[in-house]
Amino acid sequence: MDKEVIITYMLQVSNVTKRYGKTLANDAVSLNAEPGRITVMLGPNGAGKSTLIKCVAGLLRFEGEVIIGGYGNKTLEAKRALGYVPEMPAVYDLLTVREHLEFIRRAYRMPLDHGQDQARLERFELWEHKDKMGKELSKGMQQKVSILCALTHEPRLIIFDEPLVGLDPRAIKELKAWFGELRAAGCAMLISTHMIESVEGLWDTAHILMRGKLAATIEAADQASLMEKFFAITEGA
Amino acid sequence: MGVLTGLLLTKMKNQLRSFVRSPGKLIVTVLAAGLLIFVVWAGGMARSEAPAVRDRAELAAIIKVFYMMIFIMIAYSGLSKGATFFSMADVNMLFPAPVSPVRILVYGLTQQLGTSVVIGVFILYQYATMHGQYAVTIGGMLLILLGYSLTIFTANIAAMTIYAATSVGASRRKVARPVFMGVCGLFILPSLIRIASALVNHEPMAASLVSAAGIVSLGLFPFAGWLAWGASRLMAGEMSGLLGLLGAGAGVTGLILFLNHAQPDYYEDVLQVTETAALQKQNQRDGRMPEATRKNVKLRERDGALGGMGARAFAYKQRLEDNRGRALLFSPMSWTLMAAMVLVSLFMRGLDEAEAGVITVLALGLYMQMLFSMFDRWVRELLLPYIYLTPEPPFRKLLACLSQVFRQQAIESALTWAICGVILRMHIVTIILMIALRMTFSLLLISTHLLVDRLWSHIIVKWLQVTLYFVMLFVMIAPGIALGVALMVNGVVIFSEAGTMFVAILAAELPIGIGVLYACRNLLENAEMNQA
Repeated sequence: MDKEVIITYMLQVSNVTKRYGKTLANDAVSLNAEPGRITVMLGPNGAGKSTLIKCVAGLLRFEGEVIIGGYGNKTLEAKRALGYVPEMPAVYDLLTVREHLEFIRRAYRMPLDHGQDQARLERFELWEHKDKMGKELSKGMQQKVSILCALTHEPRLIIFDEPLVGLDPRAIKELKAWFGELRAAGCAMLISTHMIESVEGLWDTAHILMRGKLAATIEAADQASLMEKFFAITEGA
Repeated sequence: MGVLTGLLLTKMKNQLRSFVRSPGKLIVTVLAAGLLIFVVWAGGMARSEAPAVRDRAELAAIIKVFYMMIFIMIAYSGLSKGATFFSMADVNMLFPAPVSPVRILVYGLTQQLGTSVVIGVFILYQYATMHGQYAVTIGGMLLILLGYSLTIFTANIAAMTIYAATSVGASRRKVARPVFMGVCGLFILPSLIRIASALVNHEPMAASLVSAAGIVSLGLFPFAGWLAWGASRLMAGEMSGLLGLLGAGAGVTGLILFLNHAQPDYYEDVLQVTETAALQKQNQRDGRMPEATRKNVKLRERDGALGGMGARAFAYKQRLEDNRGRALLFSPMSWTLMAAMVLVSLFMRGLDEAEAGVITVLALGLYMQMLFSMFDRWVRELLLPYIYLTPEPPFRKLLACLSQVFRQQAIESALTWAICGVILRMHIVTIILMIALRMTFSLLLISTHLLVDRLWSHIIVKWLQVTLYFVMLFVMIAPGIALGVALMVNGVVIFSEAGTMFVAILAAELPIGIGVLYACRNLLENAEMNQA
């Protein structure tokens, strides 16, 4: 049977524990992300959100298991299915904006498609800056390039670490619209943020992390105000 | 006690406390201090009160050229971005405070002087060589350190003054650069003429360079020349050297008075460079190294384009970045390394023992390569997530990532050793051996880096990581040296004694380097980057 047919969860995080020396950053965290749904991960500073994201992206060693699209997150199949937008924009100083997208296509063995690249750059108002090098970009522009790089190879799971930080209002609006389109296309998304208002009205499932542990999971179907739930859980803890 | 004195003292107190709170920092400091004591003890044991092996005039020349290079480089930055003695905290909290700008300037200068001394401590580690070759005492080393620190200090004030004087108008900025170069040229020109004349007349190069550095005009070079002259005189026991230090002190006072008169509102002049410095510091903390490249990079067709698919895309990308990052065939660091090796070859040409020249040039090349290796492009590649995320086997990605480094170093070392070989009249086999040694050392540096990353990437204290790096490098080099010694003890000679050592190192290090590289083949499965 085709593996994709039976996938319920695009991302399965099971009992992930991550230590930095004596510091326990993640303590047996388990959560899932489903195709066509937006899963958000909330928590105060130092809750372990970014560490968990890096574990999922395969950037850190950890105890436990992370399955992406039915494969362990370190496998090539899982990497092919994953897009990752880091907290700090990641661009190459000496590549132009357009070259970043071409490079990603090559690295992921995707056919070059300058038309699609142009459309995406235009959507983020980067087309006029297409020949600027990474080192010449403002932080906001670097963030846009970083997001586009994560989307270029059309991943089935995208994890965003504070994606809206540094973006201008128009780009924020555009990215939120993009979240909706990706959801409609069946893409699973995991968004980590501490800015709750930025994901109000977008989310389907919310996981709240506190001191490295999963404190609560809330469904949008519960008609809950995320802000109220968050404070009820974090301040009551 | 004034508020600024209090601030300085509190910062110093907290700095000291941080050593107690951070065991890693404490261990590294104790190790560094221990190494310094060992160097001084070993240097003293090896050689007690015997006269200098080499001419002390050589040392005076080296000090003068060293100070001048430092001074010119720092002061030159005043033409573009100025200099700063302040942190962003100073800018945000002290500048708006009701404290006199002059007092804040003095506070900044005091901080700068302290930083300059700390930066210069590495000089003391050269004690064994300096004592062995030039019979320099501990007091002499401290004098060299003092001169070096004062050179950095005065150069920063000069840079700030130049910036303040030229930033007010485009016309001033336009003429400032040629004026700066012209003034430097005036002081240096007589020495250049002396070197040219030595080359034309086939005079011994070492003696000619020393004589060129001894020309009066170089000693008159502002600050660096005075300080070098003063330090050399004082080391020779002549109190007249104090005049050099006094001259520098008077010069600094003059610059500060000028600065205060010409630009009392200097805050704007230091703001931009302080912000840039803070950003660089933040980037380093986040694990993002700045590009060591030209400031204004333009797109050029001859730099090539992206290519390859999968892991090979990284090799093509790095080639494109390398081409863009340099104005000419090699990076500025490669040019520096090549120039240093060629210069030392010229210096060593007249030696009776040709092999000593080859060993010196090789040692210098390897030493500089070790210092520069941390700026290799592949190291920067590991700081961004893409290489880890790309769906390719990790070893293939690693090899693709390293291929550009090896390609570049093969070209660079072949060219350098071809030139040095001609200067030192080396046999073709020796030249090939030197190129092979350089490439093997490069492999060893990379393997050591990977090994430390693989085993101790969880260590957050950078200094401890650096220490481990050097320990592991020594451990990996040791078998080659041991093999060489064993061969020599057993009477095996390949070309010569040095030749035996070279071949032994090559034979031992190549498999070690390849073995460690292979052992680290899965490194790119995890990044362990940007510790949370």
